[in-house]
Amino acid sequence: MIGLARSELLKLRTTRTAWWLGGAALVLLLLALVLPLAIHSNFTEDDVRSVFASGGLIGLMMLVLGVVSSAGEYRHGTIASTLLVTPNRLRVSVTQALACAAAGLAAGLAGVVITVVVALPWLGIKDAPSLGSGEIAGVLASTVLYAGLAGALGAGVGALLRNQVAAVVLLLVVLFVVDPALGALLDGYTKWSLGGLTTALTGGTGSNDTTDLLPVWAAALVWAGYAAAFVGGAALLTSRRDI
Amino acid sequence: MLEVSSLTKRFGATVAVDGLSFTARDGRILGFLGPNGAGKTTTLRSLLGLTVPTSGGATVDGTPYRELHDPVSVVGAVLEGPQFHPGRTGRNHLLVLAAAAGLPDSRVDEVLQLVELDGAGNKRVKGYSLGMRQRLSLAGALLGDPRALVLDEPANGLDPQGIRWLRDFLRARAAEGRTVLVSSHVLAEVAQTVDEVVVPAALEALETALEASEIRTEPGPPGWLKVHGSSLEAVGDTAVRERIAVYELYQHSQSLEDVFLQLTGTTEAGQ
Repeated sequence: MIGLARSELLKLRTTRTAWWLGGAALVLLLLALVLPLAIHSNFTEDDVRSVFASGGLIGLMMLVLGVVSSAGEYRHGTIASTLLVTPNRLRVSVTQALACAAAGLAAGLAGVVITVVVALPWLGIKDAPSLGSGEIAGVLASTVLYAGLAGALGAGVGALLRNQVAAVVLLLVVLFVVDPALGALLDGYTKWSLGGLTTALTGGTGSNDTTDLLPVWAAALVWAGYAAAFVGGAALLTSRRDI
Repeated sequence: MLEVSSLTKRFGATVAVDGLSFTARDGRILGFLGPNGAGKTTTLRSLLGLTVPTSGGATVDGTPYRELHDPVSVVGAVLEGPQFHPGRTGRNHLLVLAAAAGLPDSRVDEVLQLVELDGAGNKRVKGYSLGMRQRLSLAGALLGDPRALVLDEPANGLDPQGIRWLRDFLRARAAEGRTVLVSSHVLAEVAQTVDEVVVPAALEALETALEASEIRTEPGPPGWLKVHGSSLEAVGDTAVRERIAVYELYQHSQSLEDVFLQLTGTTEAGQ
């Protein structure tokens, strides 16, 4: 298992995909931090909270990274040699998801560094209300957690669908079209939807409209459950499919 | 030893492989011949646990591939089709496989040298020629120093020099006592290399032709056909008439009635 984990991490490190996506995520984060900090002047506590939660957008990129790396195995045909070395499909899917989770955590941590370096002094200059350091740490930690979880879920979905473009498009449609629409129509849907879990995990929306959302720890567990379901489903299907 | 037994694979209404059985023995090169679309790739992929057979199965030293404990040390495979990330270097591709197999990184440099690709290891695969990709694939197959090699159309994309190199290479592996199973749709490529062959289509065609001339046949060892109550001349004539190449033809010493045929190829008939 350690060898397999090393192998999967090496896969991520030895193509440009992960570096590009990680780099793009951090550049976007920088923009997401700089723009509101430069434009706004009167910060409420909620505004400050959402500044610290900006790292949540890294999760979106890590979702894409997970999909692209696991479905990419089918696109490039490397899945055959992967399975020849490790014929156990479940071990392969699980390790791939864990490797993408690790990549997500790493990107999330880099995001924390950027967020703290940019936001803390700037908010000080702007005379924004200060949050307790415990609360800031909590918000930052949940963005890191979300980035890791997103990588794992992306890897599961990619392995299940095997087509990079289809899987990325599907996830984006679910997050930005299906979830808001069904959330408006069905009571209690948002709480369990990917979009709702994302909001719960990346916080930032303030305290007033979070009543319909799960607490961070529960949202993380539910999301991890979804990821496990996709990973397990992919392993089950792969063992019956022709590669 | 690689064993395929009563392997059948259907894709919808198409029968890709129909009840195929053969054995590749240690220290021998078994050629698996047949035109494109004859189910060679499907058979090899079933043997490697990548394709799920409709019925029947295949084993490696008596164990289905997916249940092998340390598959890379048992079988190395060169498959057809794309199998590399174009943006990854050849050496990194092998390092990824070596890590998963628990092999030291030094083994990667050894196999790169073995397939004479050590100069290009740090280049991205997208810059590789077809021949270099075949060598890289072969390097991957050799990582675990496997007892058996399975190669699907390994000569594709190789120039005559490369084919010659491959032939010598496979000969040397077989001489070490390893099993080699190599598929090809071009007889000439493998004719000088193989010890035995599987030609399901040609065997069947000759069987049908002999039965039509009222000559009784029964299945022999892999690649062989056993004929009763006939003569070498009669069987040879039938083969020529049907344009089926017979590479060995002899009368069994125990019983003058039995004629053994070994087939190594087919021209037009039976395909």
